[in-house]
Amino acid sequence: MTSQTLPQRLLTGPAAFLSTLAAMAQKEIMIMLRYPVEFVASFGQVFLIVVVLTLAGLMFSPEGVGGGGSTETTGLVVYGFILFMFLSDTLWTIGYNVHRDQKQGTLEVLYLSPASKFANLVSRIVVTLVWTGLMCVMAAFVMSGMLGALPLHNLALGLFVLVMALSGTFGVGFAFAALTLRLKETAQTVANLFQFAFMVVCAPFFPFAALPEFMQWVARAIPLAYGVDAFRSTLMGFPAGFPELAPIEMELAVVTVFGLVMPILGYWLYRREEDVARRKGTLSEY
Amino acid sequence: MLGQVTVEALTKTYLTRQRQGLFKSTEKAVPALRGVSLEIRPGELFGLLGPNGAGKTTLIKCLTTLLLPTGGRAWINGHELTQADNAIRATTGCMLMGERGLYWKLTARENLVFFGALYHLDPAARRRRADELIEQLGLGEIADRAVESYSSGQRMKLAFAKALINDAPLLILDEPTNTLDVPSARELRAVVRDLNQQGKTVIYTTHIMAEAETLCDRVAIVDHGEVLALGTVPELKASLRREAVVKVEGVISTKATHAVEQLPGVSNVATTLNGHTTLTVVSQETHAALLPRLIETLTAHQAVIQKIAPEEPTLEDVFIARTGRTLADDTRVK
Ligand SMILES: Nc1ncnc2c1ncn2[C@@H]1O[C@H](COP(=O)(O)OP(=O)(O)OP(=O)(O)O)[C@@H](O)[C@H]1O
Ligand SMILES: [Mg+2]
Repeated sequence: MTSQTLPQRLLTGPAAFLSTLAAMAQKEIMIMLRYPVEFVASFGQVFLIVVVLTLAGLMFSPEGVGGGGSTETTGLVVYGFILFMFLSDTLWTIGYNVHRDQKQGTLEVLYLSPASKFANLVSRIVVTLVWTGLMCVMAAFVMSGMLGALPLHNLALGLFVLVMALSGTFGVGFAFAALTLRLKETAQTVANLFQFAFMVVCAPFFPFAALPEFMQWVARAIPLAYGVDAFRSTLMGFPAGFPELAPIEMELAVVTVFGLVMPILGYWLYRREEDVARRKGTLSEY
Repeated sequence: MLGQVTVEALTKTYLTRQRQGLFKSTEKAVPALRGVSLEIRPGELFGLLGPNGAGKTTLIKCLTTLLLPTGGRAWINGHELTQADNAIRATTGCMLMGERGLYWKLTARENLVFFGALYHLDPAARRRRADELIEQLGLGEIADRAVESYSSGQRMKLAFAKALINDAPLLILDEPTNTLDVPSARELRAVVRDLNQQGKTVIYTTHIMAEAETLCDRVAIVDHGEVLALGTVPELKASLRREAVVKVEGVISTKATHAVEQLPGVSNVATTLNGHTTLTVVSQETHAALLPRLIETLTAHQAVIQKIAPEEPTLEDVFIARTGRTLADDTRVK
């Protein structure tokens, strides 16, 4: 057969994953750099959010503006903010990106290639995550500079919680991408709604105690809320009253299961929606 | 041995939603392929010819794994469809949807290098291949400009280059000369012919008669999701040899046309309107039998005959004989 004598290569396994991931990420960066204003603006936006939250943090501190502030509330706001930045990126960027490709008609072309479909999906977030990571380190510096040193306990456990919460959020991101394939433009509206709900119910910027009673029960039904709670409680060294939603062992269990199961479930949902689109012929519709 | 592409009774039915007012909608089945069987041999330049909506793109999308067929089986480059989809993707080069499948913010070179990576070319090979294709298709002058600044013809060329990036043994091209001007279309066909001579199997979709006639080794005439005729162009014409084809130009009423359709032996009458009427009449009888009857019928219906001539069958006549209609005039100019 002719095909065997010609030089087509078909990578499989990790090699296929990594090569696609690298190519997609590189392309993403090139496209980002073609929008210099947006690039700078997104930088500025994060900076402004940092400033606003820092000021909010000052208000929270018991000694008021100009005082040393309580490191506890500082940690609560800073770590909540860091987690929020990572999670909200991961939640929506994948679907947003898939939708963009669907509108351009490039989704079909990507599908036509033998490139790893999983890497294709993951790659849509890699650049943003690295970017957010840098921003967060910077934000942590700025905020601790203005509010005093941050409490930093149990770093390893904190990282574990971050990784698991992120991994689970990837899964939710995949599921949302699946929803995008089905609902197209409408999915973006749904995303806006959920983003707002997430900011309230998962309480990234304030303690859960600030929520009305029934909302706290809603939060207890959302795995991501345990991620937020466990992450900041761990790094703050479990001060009295933290974690708020459940004992830490239970929160860790919830976050771990979420981190392990959700990516598999989300990816399965995405591939299923992709097959529905292949049946209906709507991969390139918008 | 299996052909390069073997298709067995492939069917595809789309389910679409029919809107009825604000909240009501019903599912409607749109059969786009009704049991297509084909065998494309290695090294062949194979044409799929059919009017708008015939099912050409649907067939190609099924063969390139973009669409899941409803029924039937297919083998591409020795791999079974839906069983070894990634192997099919790796060994096929496709041009679908023309200019839409490109990143418009990137340059031609960046696009080609990127797609090279998706086809697992190593970094040096990607750049080399991109350079080769830019050279081969004369994209040098625009290669380092963003695609969004290209004319649509230039984008089509780039989309064609993209289909060649993995140097696949099988090329699948869906109306690649769409939106190209006459010289560019000719140039592209020459490249396709070259690639075919170098041993590549090509599936070439078109609704332009002349293109199928001059370019393809074998042609399948497709309409309403079915293959109506299949063979080399001479074979297809020979299948009409025993039938007479007469072209009549003049002022001919619909009533006259209907009368012609009723004549014994007449199997097909196609009408083209451009200022006056042109009838193409295909009949099972000989020219000698058909001509006098035709003239008699037309004059009896007050038609004004400006020109009447027996014709050697063209591919278009084959098309008319099989489908009962012509391709629109404007699609024939290129
Ligand atoms: N996604 C879809 N959903 C429903 N029906 C579709 C879809 N895509 C195509 N069709 C229908 O299937 C039939 C075949 O369409 P197809 O695009 O394959 O035709 P084609 O031969 O490529 O035509 P053209 O020359 O216009 O490109 C048409 O009747 C079309 O309306
Ligand atoms: Mg088409």
